[in-house]
Amino acid sequence: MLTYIGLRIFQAFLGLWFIATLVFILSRSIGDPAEIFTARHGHVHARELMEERLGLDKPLYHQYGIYVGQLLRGDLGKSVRNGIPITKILMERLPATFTLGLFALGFAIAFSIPLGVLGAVYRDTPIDWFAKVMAFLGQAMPPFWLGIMLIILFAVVWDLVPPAGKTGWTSYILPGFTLGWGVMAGMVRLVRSSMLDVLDSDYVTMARAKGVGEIMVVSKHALRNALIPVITYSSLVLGAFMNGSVVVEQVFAWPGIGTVAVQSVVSRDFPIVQGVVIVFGAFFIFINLFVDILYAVIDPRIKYTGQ
Amino acid sequence: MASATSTQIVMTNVWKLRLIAMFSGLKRAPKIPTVILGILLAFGLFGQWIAPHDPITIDLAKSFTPPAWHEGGSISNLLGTDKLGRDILSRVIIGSRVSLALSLTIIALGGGVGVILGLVSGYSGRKVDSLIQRGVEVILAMPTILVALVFVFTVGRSFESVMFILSPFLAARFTRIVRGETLSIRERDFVAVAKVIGTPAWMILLRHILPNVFNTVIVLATLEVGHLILLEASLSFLGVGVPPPHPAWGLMVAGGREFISSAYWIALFPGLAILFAVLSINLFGDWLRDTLDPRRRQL
Repeated sequence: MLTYIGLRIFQAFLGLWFIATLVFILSRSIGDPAEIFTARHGHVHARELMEERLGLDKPLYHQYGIYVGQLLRGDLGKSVRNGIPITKILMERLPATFTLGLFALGFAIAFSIPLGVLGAVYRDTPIDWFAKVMAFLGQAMPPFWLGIMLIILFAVVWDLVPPAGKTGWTSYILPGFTLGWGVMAGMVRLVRSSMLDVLDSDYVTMARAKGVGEIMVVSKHALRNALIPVITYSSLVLGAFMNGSVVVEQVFAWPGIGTVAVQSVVSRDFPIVQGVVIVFGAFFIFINLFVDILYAVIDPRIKYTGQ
Repeated sequence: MASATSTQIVMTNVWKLRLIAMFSGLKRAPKIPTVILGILLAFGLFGQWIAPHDPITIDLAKSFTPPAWHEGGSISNLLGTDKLGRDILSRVIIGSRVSLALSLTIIALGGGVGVILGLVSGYSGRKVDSLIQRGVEVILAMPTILVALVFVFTVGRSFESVMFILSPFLAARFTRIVRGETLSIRERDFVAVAKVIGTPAWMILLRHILPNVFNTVIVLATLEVGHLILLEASLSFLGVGVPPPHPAWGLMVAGGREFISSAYWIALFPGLAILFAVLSINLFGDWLRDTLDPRRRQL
């Protein structure tokens, strides 16, 4: 077990190093930021100054060394435009993205578990159909379009919530819903199908045979086991949120990391984009690591040695 | 020599039977999604003859014409026009082409590479396998939209650049699933027998393992088309899809965004087109999975 955890942690760091290197290669191969920034002014001296400041005058392996060294010290560099450290920019924006993601996840869980359970228990009834429709819509609707439609309905026509920006708790409703629906869709289907599996199993029949009430059977015997895949899925969801946040924050002018990333791409502030990709990637890798270790601790059937 | 030819005959028959089964099975496909998919394909292939107007021609006299059922709307522009007076319906019809062409190309390219890598990864030993799997892990850990955004923005927006940057993500997903399948099929008796009689590894992969992962690949490919249409639309919404004036659904929604309080139809209809396209592909894919690959109900 300990060897497994150790190996897994090693793999996580290896993955992180891969990402960092890939980002480095990408950022160095797609164009010289000094050239992009000074081309407008066309001054040779300005360009040399910029190169020196960014360390672009040194050979590539040297640049790579500096880059890795900085990363190890938790330094993601500075914005090319205004010189603000990227860690500071990201730390400022992280709470908005994080709370929105949390809100969306909460929404997804709060709706998907009851819908999935009821869909499985009352199979092929209107409740089940409703759950299915919600799920299929959630997986087929483009989030940016859903966001705009929600703004039209709830902010423009009915004027119930603010159309954009982060003002009070009501401003969470539309973007949270937009971000959460797609995730909810996957969860509903997952809860439903794993509930159906579990409700078919011997120990549920056994529980029923010994006279356990239906509510207890569903909530205690079945749901608990049906939730295991949901936990795994929740970790995968984070990937969906990272992708979704880029688009949804853009639609709602949400002051989070996604908005910063898009702005930086447009203004060619690559160190920021680089920082966002690394932070997102690291986040994802460590969540996966955490889930794997959690599983190793929880589920004794999983064997790890000699595979 | 004789045994080789007979194996060959058996194998071709298997593929032929499989294809026949697939097409006769289509009769049992869910009706509405299949019809919508058919319409979508017709739009993609013969759009320029179906569309009532030219999707690119600007006619400022007609700008912001509402859909036909509103006051001031006309039958000629059934779903209204946009800011530049271009017909929404025609643009939705022609816009299907980008979505379809791009997602199918990526499926073919990324999926093909993914299947090969998955087979190799699942069949070969620890070193190659773990190398490929680390690569897959890294790709899957990257925020797709953001990476695509950076890439397309730098190299320039075009069909090829979107294709190039999305294919690896698709390949990674295919690799992961095909590898899992290969791992279990590798242990089956017929593979052991093939090994014993000295069949080379590539032939085992091609003749014995590939046909057995085929159903999974078909199902996965279908379900991923929906994913890719959404992804392409998101990129095009962010302004890094296929360049204008060529109509693309995501771009049309983005164009309608600033007029949501005055001309909702500009953003509504292209979004509905995406919704119906992805919905019917997903329903079709679900049916396909239940038919071909019932073990993977949760895919």
